[in-house]
Amino acid sequence: MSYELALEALADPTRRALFERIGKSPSSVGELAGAFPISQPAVSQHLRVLREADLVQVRREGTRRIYTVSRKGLEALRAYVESFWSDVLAAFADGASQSPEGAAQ
Amino acid sequence: MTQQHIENSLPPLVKAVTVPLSVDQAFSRFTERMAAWWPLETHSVGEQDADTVTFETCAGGRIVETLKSGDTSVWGTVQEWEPPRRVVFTWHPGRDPSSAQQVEVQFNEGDGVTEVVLTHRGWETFGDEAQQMWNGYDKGWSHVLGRFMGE
Repeated sequence: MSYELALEALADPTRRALFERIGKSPSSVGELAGAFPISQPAVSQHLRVLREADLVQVRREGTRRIYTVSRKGLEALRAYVESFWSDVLAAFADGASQSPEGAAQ
Repeated sequence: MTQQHIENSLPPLVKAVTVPLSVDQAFSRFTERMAAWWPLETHSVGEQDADTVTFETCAGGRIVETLKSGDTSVWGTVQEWEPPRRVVFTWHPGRDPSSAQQVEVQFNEGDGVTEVVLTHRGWETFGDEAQQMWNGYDKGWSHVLGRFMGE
């Protein structure tokens, strides 16, 4: 499931920081490696995970590869969380209107 | 566009439902009696293997899922405990606590009913694109809320 990939990808603090940075400012791998205390191969590895979760995408600008935030993974995550609480509150309300011990107290 | 540079955080996700209970009953049902209604088989770490969920009713208390195997998974920790009006807890089911978001639940007394308002915060990490996405989803919510309130 796409939202699970997104959740896992963002559970890592470094990846989350990279993702935030890309959200604020689309960047190349080199720019990201310069902004974080990790190696360029490590940045590339994190970007691969974010890309597989559809959280970032690559745009070509001449010879440069610029990473930008992708809506797809975020939409999956948002839709998941939104439906999650809908279901939970529906269960909370359903029982409350039918449960005698809840209504009679 | 300029607004994105000024405000890079997302508004929280807010959902509400009204139940025919007093605030005391609604608060108690949501917290200490969570196991009686939480849809564990679909909304848990273990899903079909989940056994129960325990809400420890105090500040610093944990929300803990217990699996049939006896293993446990902490969903979050109570940060503010103000019965019967308000409870705030961290939220990281199935994830590391360092990735926790925050959930606040408020219980507002009405005429023989209680409005339960749930606010899920922590979207500020998601950047400008997420802000645009949020704007799109926000429009859809009135329908969802309308459905809950109408039933």
